[in-house]
Amino acid sequence: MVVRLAMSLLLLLVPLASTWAKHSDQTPITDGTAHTLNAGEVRVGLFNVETGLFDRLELGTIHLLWLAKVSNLYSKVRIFQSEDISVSLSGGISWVNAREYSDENPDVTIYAVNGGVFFTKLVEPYTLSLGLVVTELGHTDLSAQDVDLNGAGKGTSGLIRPQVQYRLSERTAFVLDGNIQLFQRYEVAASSGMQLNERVRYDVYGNTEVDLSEGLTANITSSVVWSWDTFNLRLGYRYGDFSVPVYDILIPITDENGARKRSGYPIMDLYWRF
Amino acid sequence: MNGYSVGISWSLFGVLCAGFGCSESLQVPPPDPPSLEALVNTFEAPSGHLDEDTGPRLVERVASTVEDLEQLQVLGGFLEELLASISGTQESTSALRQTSTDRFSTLGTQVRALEVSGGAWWRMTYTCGPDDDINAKRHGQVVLNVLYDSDIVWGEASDCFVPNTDQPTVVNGPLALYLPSLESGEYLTDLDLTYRVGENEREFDLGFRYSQDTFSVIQELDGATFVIAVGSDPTDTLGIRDACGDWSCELSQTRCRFASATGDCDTLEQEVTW
Repeated sequence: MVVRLAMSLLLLLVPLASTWAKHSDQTPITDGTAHTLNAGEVRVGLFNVETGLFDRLELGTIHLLWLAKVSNLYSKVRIFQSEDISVSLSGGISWVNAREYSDENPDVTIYAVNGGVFFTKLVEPYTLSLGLVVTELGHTDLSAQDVDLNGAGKGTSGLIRPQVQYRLSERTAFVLDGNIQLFQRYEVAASSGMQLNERVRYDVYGNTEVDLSEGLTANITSSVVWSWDTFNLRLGYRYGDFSVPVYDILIPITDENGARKRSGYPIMDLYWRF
Repeated sequence: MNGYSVGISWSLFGVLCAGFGCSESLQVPPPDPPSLEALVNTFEAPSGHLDEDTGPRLVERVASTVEDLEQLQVLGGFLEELLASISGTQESTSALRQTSTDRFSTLGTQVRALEVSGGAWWRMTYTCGPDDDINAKRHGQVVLNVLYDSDIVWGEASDCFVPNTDQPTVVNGPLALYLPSLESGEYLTDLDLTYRVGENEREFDLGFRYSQDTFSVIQELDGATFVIAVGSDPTDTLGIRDACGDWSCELSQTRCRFASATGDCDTLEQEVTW
């Protein structure tokens, strides 16, 4: 019901889009595709800033994360281009030292590194893309004396990211994309503490490996992207498991009994591209 | 303590959470327990031989350390209380499983039950002080580490006020306990403590064993080791274990009788007098 309502609202908005069009073969949507910004192009948005350094290379960062003291940088390079096929490699890194938040924290750097490959094929009026992204989460070494901990994970995950764009006009495009988890394996450390009585407190620590690949972890997003000359707006609705941006990982949401609990939520992005 | 498992709550993406400044922190390896193998072997198989020469010298040495032995008994009572606390924490760690459905909301972090059967450990913090003033700042504390798959418990006392003594008594320093069975109440401990009674400070750098209401300590004589078992009245009776076996000594009779063989000796004296 909610999905239907959201899609109806989106369709109602389509005729409202202006005639200043920007969806074109020269300036295609780059998110989730093998396309990159053109040389000298800049994209400034709600979440990120990107620039095209050369025709085949773009560099970006999520500025909101800098506000949270997380340094981050990502890039995409188009390694193959023909009339209707593009292939790109992507990579990103983010890191933060725990001391950024408190001097009492251990001197440890938490990082996420990801790499991916994207294929895009134009079949007018459709643009078909497929991405494969692998993410490594981790942190630098800690000694046992360093910290009190509640829980942390480090490990590797991989997902595929199919996308179908339907270019309704040069100003309006429908995008259907998804994330499907291939594997997600983590070494997890955790702790839980309890005050046994007035004298005695204990904290339990455990390290183990966890395979989160049980069942299908995925989500699907339906959205519309409008382009008014330089301004672009994306509105949509996502259903399924939770996607963590930047880290390119999926988190399966479960209820208190451990049963999978998928849900939907609206998404939005806006940016200027000039 | 083999075979225990514990349910603990974990936050898979605590690492992300840390990155965004919440209270989660990080994975640490289990600490390495100290090796008590040499001490255990010495208690099991001392190298000395009891005879007319070593017997009176051992008795004389024990008599000169009666005060120390009394303090050891006080310390032993305190260690018993620590062990009871460890036992209590061990029982209640299973309760953590019941709390594992707690959820974190930040960035969709997820908590679910996790079974850890190996590599897990817990840390017990025992707050010292009299029953009516339990306070770590005023009366110190003892922190002990316990591995689920190890027989060794170790940690450090920090200015810990020992209750149930006539005079104010404070202990400081590292301690390690070998617990072949927590339920039996038997233990072997390696101490390197500063023991302060009133204004008098003593250093204890020794190992002792507690079993069946008897304290045993190692005594070294001419490079050979003996195990001295001290009962309720060390001025009257003593037990001595040498390389051949266990001896029962009546100090008023200046006589030790061979009680049972534990070693591999060709010729055995059945009685030693001096």
